[in-house]
Amino acid sequence: MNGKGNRILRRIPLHLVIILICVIWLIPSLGLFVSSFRPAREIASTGWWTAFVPPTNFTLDLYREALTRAGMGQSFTNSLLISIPSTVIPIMVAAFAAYAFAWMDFPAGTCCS
Amino acid sequence: MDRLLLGLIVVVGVPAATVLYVLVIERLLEIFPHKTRIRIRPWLWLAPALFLLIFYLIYPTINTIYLSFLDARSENFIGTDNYVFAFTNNNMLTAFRNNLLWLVLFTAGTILFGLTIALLADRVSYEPFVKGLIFLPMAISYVASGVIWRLMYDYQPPGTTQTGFLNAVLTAILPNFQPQSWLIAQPTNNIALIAIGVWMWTGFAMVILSAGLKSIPVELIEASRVDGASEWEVLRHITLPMLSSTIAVVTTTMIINVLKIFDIVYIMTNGNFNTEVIANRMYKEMFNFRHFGRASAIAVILLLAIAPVMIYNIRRFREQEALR
Repeated sequence: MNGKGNRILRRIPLHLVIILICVIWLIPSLGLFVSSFRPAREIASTGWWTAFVPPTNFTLDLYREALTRAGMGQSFTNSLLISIPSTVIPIMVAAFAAYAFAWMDFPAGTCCS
Repeated sequence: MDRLLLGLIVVVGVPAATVLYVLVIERLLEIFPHKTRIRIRPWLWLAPALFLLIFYLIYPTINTIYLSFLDARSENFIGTDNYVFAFTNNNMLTAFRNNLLWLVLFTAGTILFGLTIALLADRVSYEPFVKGLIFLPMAISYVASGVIWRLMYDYQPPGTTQTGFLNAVLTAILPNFQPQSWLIAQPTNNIALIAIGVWMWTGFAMVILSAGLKSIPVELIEASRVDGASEWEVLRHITLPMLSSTIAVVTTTMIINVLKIFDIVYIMTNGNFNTEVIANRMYKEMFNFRHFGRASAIAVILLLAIAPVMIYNIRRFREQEALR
């Protein structure tokens, strides 16, 4: 029993180091996340970590503005128009090439297989 | 709406055309005697990929090499002037120096952090959670990272409320700390930019190294423990040597990555305050100064710098494939 308690105690620094690293890695993204719910004026004047001090003032205004702003729908369509063909076409073309390399006798195939 | 239609035509049309192409060549091949058929069939199947490679990769590369010997508007042949410029111009030399700094610090940083986190997380039950968290920045685009780190590096004059997290924390902890303008103060601004890169790419290094770590036989490590090896000795004499090929793969991937680094610098400082890197310089020559010759020369230099690492990486990959 004592040995087990000792083992847990000895592992505390390990947990602390891991948690510290995780917190350091998360802080930048967390800052962005919290900022996205704050009014634009406050983002410029105070740090995001002060947002939790009462009186809290969270809002979805920035999301509303970003989603309804002109050109946003077009941007989403464009993203899809680029990402889908650029996934489908290379896979399709590469599949035929890969099939040739894998299943057919290739005089020059030894260099690439 | 016609954009959507175009998209649909491309998504359905190109694969359909490829399939149709294969059906047609298979039909045509029936005309030939068996022996010829066997010989030319693989080439015909390979043709679409080869076609894409030639027109989208090989032709532009050769064209770039050709343009790099011409002047700004690609009209007159000027010999190696563009290359002389690339290796003597002050801004270019700064870019080379910065890229070297990136190369050393970024690669070392991602590998060290990635390895440390992989090793530590391996010992706790909530490993998937830790790994997910560290990997998170990989899912964030460079531009979004720029926004994120602006909030971190923000600077306000001393005495006023600090809106940047780093300055706020440091002024709160250290009594005599003066707020720093992290992106302007030289030479630390380069390190501030590299830190963003390390933050983004450590997750990648960690995942690959962690996978390598899991493939080390447990018996081996247990046997060494039974033989009385300390944790440090196990790490030093078993884990790290067994991981060496994985570390090599991650290192070369990171080197290729870092030589092409562009986005972070472009978004955060746009190369101002002596933070320029090679790719950033190439962009400026091309799109700001419209000097096609110089931009092409820099592109060729970058290609030549990356090619050996790439070849090494492919060789290594093939060796590992052969072992399977």
